[in-house]
Amino acid sequence: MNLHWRKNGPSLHTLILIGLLLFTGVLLTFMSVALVPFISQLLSENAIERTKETVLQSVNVVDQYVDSTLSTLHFATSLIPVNPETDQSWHSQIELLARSNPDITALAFFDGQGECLYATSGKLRVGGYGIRKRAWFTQALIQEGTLTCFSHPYVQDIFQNQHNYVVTLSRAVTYMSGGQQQTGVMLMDIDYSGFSALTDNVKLGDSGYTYVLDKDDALIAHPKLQLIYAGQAQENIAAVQSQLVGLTRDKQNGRERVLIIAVINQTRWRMVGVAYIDEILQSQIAFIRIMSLVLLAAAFIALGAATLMAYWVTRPITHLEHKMRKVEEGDLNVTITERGFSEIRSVGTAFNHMLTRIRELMGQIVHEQEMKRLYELNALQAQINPHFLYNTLDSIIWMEERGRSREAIIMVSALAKLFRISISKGKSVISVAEEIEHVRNYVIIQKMRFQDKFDCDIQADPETLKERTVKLVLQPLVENALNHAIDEADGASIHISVRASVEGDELRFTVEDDGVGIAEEQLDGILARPTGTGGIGLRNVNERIQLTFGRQYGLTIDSEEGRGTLVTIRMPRGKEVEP
Amino acid sequence: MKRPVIISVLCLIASLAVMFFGFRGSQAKTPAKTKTITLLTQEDTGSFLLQLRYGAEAAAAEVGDKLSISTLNRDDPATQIAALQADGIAAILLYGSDDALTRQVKAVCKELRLPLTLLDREEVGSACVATDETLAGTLAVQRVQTLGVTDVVFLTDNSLMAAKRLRGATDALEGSLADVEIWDGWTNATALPEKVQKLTARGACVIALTGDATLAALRLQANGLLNAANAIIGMDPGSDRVSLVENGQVSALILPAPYTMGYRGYRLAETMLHGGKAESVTVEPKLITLTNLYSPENVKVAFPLLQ
Repeated sequence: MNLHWRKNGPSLHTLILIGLLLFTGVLLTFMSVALVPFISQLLSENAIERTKETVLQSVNVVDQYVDSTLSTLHFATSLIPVNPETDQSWHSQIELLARSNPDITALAFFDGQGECLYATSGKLRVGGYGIRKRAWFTQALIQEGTLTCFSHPYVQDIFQNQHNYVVTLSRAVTYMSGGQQQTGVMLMDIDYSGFSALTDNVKLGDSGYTYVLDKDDALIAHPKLQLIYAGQAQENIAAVQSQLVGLTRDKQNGRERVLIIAVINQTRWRMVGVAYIDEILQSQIAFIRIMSLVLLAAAFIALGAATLMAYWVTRPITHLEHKMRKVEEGDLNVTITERGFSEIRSVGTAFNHMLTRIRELMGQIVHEQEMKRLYELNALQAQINPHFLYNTLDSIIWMEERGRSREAIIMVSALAKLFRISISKGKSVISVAEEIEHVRNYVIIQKMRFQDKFDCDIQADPETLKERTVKLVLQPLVENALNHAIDEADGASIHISVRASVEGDELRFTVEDDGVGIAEEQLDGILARPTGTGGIGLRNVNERIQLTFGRQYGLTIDSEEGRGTLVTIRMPRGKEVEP
Repeated sequence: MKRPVIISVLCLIASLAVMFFGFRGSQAKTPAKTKTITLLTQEDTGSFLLQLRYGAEAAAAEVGDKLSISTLNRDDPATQIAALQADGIAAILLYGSDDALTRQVKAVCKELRLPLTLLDREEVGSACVATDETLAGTLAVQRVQTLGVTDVVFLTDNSLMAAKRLRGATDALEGSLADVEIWDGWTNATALPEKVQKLTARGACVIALTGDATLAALRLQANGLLNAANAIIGMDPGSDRVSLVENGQVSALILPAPYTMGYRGYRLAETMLHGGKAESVTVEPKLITLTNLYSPENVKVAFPLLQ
């Protein structure tokens, strides 16, 4: 192919194909290199943003839960009368409030010494001393009612025969006792499972989750909290220790994770959303996969389309080139079908016109050449063989010297007629009668020269006599037979028979002898032999007939070595020919 | 047909094939088939079983599988297990104390080529998850040392479990100056042996190496044979564990961790299903005192019925 390219340059088909493929390739490459990463990046950011939104929504849910719980606690504290020790009407209200909220496991109010004024969960197993040591109690008193304290999850142990896993909310409440203002503490235990369900049920991807840290980075809630306590799971808390809010990344068990951190307002706890990159970016992976498929399919379609388009564009040109190649090989009978683009059709039309013109010119040239050849052959044939003339004249002299005037006169008369018919006023076509007369005169002259060397029988069907024939076609044949007879007949006399007949639309002459015949290997080449070698007379006759009447006519030679030769001339009857 | 047309048609077919098989491939990405492992139990109830279940469920949730629970048919375990296998059960976790029944289940599972993991039971050559009994003894001794007591009385029996715990304890005591007495005649005892009496009079700590021994120690305490100075460190005392610690009847309890056991058991079964070998896994017991009784870390152990 390279050699072909170097020699002829690339084909138009190849150029169009390569051009289209290059264009498509550049387009697809641009899409895969620039567009796909861009969209992929957008999807990635979008996925992380969605995950962040989910975490923030979860934080909002927890915030609402905490707000609701705080409202309940505030309401509970508002139920405490000025003198809670003497006015016990609030007991039933507190009891009712606790029962109305299933997440509340206990509501209790303690005086400043830790003594319980009322608790919804029955008797306490811990006295005032024990209560005063509890963190929820001491912290509530320290903050003096301005803030609510949140404990870590733990098992509440202050009630008899009752253990609940809770988060304790406590708040200082002022009241009057013995005419003096006192500060007590309201306790509200919230069932931990209610709180943890808010975070445990958050799903980030297939295996993402959320967990909650307190302000000291201790785990408050985690879907695998017990497994972490049991040492069967781990959480990389260090990754979020230095960050209050926002987004960070880490790697755990070989999987990259995005950590979204948000603060739960009232508690100052932080919720951390953990999402696995490979999961949240599934849409991005799906997009890349789909884009890869689309690009691959597009590449196939582009290849097919480019091939088809290159073929469609170049097909008329290829067709044109094919026809031109035929013309180049010599076939001028080609006609181009005008199809394809207008430019190609115009080229086809012009080419067809050009071919028509070439054919006309070629025909003209061929005709002219044939005429020229015919004139040459006629001229050649019209020339009297000098040897024949010399020998004839020599014979006439010899006869006169021997006193054989009568024979000399016959010979001179025959020679004169021979010349007259040969000339025929310059005509190349004469009547069969003249042609027969011409050969008869020739035979007379040669008979007188060669005496008993041959005898000749000339017969013409009467209907042939008025037919027209190319002149001087029989004499060369008889001369040829006679020459071979005299040269090769080993002294024996030969018989030459000349016939003129009509066969259908054809006029036929036969010249037959019983001489030595022609060898088969020589026979085929006699009429085809180039000019200048033997058989000139036969080829001259054949050529003149064919130039005059066409290639379907002319001479045929049948011969058998030792048996004689039959030469047949075929030409059309009644054919009008130019003189 | 002309060659370019053939090429174009082939390209079109190729692109359609790419799209068809590509999209079908992505849609065919169904999640991995969920398998089910059954927790087969000889006991119907109990907090220990509950925590075993929770632990196994946590492990199942981690890998996206399911855990089912069935009570073992004591009369015909073979038919039951064959039916479970026919239902598509991938492996079995067995929890039970009946040795004969366990042997039957092992034989059936072996015949059916069903992976079996024994929970709370240690058997050589079997996949099993059990409490590290040696460590239980060690933890008890550590508690004794925390209390600053030098003399120890071990209440033990002739069980293999007690022997392991005793070995762990004595190993931990090795090199110390403790005066030790091992007593196994505590059943229905109304008086203390001389050596035990001598040691308890000196404020020795009592380590009860089994659940029954713990109850016996408590009985001795109630009968006045042990005094307040004799701290009792018990093991597997039953359902009153929290009150024993809260009321100060025992100084500490060594409790098994069924939640972790269930989790590790399921993971072991999972490992075997993936071609891993059957191994023996031990789970650390927990030392529960009044100090750490209510901490979140011990909730599953000390308060197994709490959600």
